Amino acid sequence: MIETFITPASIDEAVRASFENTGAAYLSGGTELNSRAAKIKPAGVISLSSLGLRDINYSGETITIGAMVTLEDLCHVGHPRHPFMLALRTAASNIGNRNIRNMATIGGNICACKSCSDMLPLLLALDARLQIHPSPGVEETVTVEDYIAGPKTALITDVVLPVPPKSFFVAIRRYTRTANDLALVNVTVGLDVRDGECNRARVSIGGVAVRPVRIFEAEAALAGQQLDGRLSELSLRLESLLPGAIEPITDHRGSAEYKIRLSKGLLIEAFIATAGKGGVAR
Amino acid sequence: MIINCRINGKQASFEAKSGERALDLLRRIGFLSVKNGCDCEGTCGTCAILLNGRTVNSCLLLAPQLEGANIETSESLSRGREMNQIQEAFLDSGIVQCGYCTPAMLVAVKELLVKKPHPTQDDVMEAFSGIICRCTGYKQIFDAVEIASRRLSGDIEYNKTHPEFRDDLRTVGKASRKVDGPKMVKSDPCFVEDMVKPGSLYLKVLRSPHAHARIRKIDASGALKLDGVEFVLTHENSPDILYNAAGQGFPEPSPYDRRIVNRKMRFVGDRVAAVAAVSIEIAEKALALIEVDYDILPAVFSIEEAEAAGASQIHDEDNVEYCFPIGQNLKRNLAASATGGIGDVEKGFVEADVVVTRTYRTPHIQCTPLEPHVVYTYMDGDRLVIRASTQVPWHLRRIVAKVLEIPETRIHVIKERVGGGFGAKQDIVLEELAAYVTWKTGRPVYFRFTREEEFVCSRTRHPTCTTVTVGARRDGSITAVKMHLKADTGAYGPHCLTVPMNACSKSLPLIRCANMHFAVDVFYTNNVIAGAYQGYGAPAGSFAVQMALAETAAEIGMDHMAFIRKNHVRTGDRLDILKVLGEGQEGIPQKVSSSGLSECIDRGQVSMNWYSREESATPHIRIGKGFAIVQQGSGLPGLDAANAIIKQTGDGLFVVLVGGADLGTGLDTVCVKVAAEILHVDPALLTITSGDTDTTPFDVGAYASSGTTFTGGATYNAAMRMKELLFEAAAAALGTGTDGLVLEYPGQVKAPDGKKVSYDKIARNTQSGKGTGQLIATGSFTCEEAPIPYGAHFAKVEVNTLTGKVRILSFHAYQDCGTPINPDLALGQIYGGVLKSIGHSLTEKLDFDSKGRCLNPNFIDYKVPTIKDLPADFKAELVFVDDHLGPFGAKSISEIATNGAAPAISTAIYDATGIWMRDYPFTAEKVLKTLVEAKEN
Repeated sequence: MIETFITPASIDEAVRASFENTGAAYLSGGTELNSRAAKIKPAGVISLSSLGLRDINYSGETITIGAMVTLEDLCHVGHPRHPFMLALRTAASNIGNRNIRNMATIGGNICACKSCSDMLPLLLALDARLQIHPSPGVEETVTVEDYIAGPKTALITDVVLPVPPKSFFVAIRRYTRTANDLALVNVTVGLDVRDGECNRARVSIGGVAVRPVRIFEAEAALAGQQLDGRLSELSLRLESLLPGAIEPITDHRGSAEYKIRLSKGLLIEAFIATAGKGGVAR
Repeated sequence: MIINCRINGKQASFEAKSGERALDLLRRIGFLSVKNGCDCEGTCGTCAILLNGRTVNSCLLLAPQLEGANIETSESLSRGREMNQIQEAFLDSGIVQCGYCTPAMLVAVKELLVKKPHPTQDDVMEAFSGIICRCTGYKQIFDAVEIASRRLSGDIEYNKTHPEFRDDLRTVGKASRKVDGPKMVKSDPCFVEDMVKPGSLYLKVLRSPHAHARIRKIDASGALKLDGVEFVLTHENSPDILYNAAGQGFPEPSPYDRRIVNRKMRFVGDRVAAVAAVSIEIAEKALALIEVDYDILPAVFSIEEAEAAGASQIHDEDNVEYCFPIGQNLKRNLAASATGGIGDVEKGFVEADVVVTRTYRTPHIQCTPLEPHVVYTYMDGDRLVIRASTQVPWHLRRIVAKVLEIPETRIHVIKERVGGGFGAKQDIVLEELAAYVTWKTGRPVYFRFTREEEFVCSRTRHPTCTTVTVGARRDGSITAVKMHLKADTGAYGPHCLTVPMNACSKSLPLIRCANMHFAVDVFYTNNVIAGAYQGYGAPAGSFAVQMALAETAAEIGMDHMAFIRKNHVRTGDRLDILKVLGEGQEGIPQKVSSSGLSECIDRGQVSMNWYSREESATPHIRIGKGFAIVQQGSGLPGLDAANAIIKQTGDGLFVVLVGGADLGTGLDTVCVKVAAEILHVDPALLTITSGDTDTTPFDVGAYASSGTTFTGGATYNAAMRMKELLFEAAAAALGTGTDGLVLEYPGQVKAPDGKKVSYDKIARNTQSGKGTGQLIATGSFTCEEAPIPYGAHFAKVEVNTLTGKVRILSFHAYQDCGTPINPDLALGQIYGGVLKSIGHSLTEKLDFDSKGRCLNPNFIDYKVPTIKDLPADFKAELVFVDDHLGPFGAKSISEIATNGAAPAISTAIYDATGIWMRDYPFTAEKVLKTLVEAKEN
């Protein structure tokens, strides 16, 4: 039961409050923390509502998204008209439903770090970084990958996306039972394709490990490859390497065997779709 | 802490605890529009409010998060007693059914239309994406938004055109607003939970952690000592009365196999003890203080395990009573069984060119009304008042009287608006417990299921396993059909005989065949309790029989539709099979009074472009089409009964009193319209009271699709009687005879010579000191034949062969419903029934672990369709047929709508991929597995 509700006025105050109230958790939207189904039941909360952190700033090289930007706001980000922003919209709109997205924030979504998060695979594929405040007076930049591998307790203030080149294309494929469902498996494929050749590949999957993971084997299998006319061949390769790279568990939502099959199917769909966006011929 | 914010335009300041949920706070300070359908897991959306103009779930907000915010609840829409345009649009679109999620939908529209005055279809879907509704199928939301949008932008007169029927009638066959609609869109308190007064006791139940166990010892002394605990009930002080919770007509064809609290536990979730305390927290604390020593028994979790030799016996003879035999054999865990047939099936199979035998399965499916089971009981002098969310007020009164051993006159049941019933509220699932505690303590008791209890301790569909054998000749004629259905009734046997019987009696009579045979065997298991659910077994029977017919057509190489067209029943056919398909008694064979089957199939053939094959642009996506024919009944001839009273008011209008239970289905509206039609008055000027055991007459309640035919029929008869009374009174006033008198709109009696007397004058005459007394007409309705509604449902699906996911592209439902009394509400019933059964077909299923514990008792893991899961092309049409049995030729409409989706979708999957899916839900995992196996073979 939550006994204390603190509303700090600044980032410093928030971080200090967190150190002074060890049983308290940061509260942003509350869609995870306040749910009866929440995994953690803190004794108190530190509300981030007065910290701002609701802006999206664009520079030439990066886009900085405040941690308190809601997922619904992300569904409508319009500028700049780069394909990866469209992917960001898609990832955000895949999460929950309007009522949830109106409250849930990108920072909160990262902290919650669900195995099947619809946002994290994309952030991994985009090499996203986080501005965090692990302790009073300390500010650091870490990769999303490193952050979610850790305790996920440091306050996130911003999500920083390096703007990829125009030749970077992304596709997201996922399976849910109903529209208002967590993904069972979701796959994000990002490819930097120039003249049919893959310069850089990013493959990330949610729902197949304790947290969303990059599939480095798949990325290596695609990087430097000429894709034109080879999609079927490369699909087979991706399919064959995948079981060794993921370790889904059997639960009542699906068997491990099915999740592997599903991951293969979605990976092939996402790979072909991404390559298609990059102008690659089957 | 003190919270300051604006609520509905007014500054508000209130005390709240840091951890209090905004939902609880808002209800506590009187905003009762905020509902709770998922116990604050944030999945149902019925608690939606606008927070700074955005639709959010108040259950996911802590009270302090409201600080400084601008809050709008659904109450903000009305201005005094006036409705705003959005509320009016809801009433004119037919979207309001049970009304429980209506406040949430209203705030979602409010946000939507502020941001997008002219929203697209996608905008509407996103706006409603967080709200679960199980009644409406969401379809008419699009109409509601369009009407509101157009009117708000100046087109004040705009309305959707609803289909109209019967030019010869003024009110019946035309759309009119639901009579209980205004209070729902105004979010007036009208549900049981809105009636609870401070000082009430809260009831909580300790649930068995074991699927099968005997209580060796129970010690509740610790709980009783806790401050604030008023009463503890265990098997030791439970009344020794056997009863059945099924709300069925007496004598019930269900075994009396339980006490309020049993000593033996028969499923995970069975009642161990109940605690009544001054708060929920104290009651829960007390539960933890009850010490129980269990003797754990071997459990059985499936039909196969239950019928196996040496299986653990779940009920013993000493603890079960039967009103009459229903083919039980408790030693074999057989709760009920029946068999029968017509003709000679063995001879039929010999005459066949092909004999196809297939087995089909269906799972545990939960009714999931958004309002869980809830009851509020209190004493009024020496009488027990039960404010209930029930489908069966009279059966509730009878069963509580039996359990409490008191006369029915000591009990007053008031049915409040019901936030979704679907069959689950046909059973006395929790009322008798609260009633008993109130009777013992004299204190008001409030008892509301948690969502988990609703999943585990309410009622589910019976899991079934049905083997169907069809004999057919190559010319497409069917020589014999045999169906053997086994069902799992779970720990107790409400509806144990009748649901499986209905599976047969609503599926076999669709086919013309002289040789038919059925057998049903129903087993007790240590699973959750099965019971009634919209369709009442018919969806399982329909799935098995329709699938077997489709597989037979494939075997003989005949087009499925041609095969069905050749064999379906037609108007005038005599349904002899019904004689052997009664409910524990001999059934009544009847003639098909009317059937729109052919036209339903014709319309679907055209609208689905049936014989054209469609290909997807991507090779791993396959597209296919399928269909199924369906039927239901309209109440139970010879078993059901309804009564109605119509009283004249002092100004010549009428009050209608019926015992029927409107669950949001529009039954009250049906009755008012029927009365208004006969009495030639504006239905908006009449009023109705229903489902109150003190003021309204007996009615069996809302089940078996009986409402329109029976309750509506009783109203029809009462109105016809009122017509006679009006003639007599008019004749006295005019000094003439009653010959040649007619009623004229709006409320007058006209004589052949043109003289008229108004109802107003008649009322004043009859109710004066010199009058003959207030005009009060009664009507009752029983029958030997009830109309059978027919229909055909069509699905077009795409199957992703990489993931196994099935997506419904089109669903067209054609239903013959005689004369639809209220077409927009009738369509809403179809959309709702179809979408529910699409959910059942694709995703809905309770899962259990090896100990019988439910793994998905919540909306996070038990997935029901949302508005974004609607088929892109979703259409229902009412096919008029001229019938004479029901009031104005009406037939039932809603249950039948749940019978078509599974076989239509499965045959479409076959058409797309060549695999037969014989057990639903057709989950992606199952479909993919079947595809892989088919490929390997």
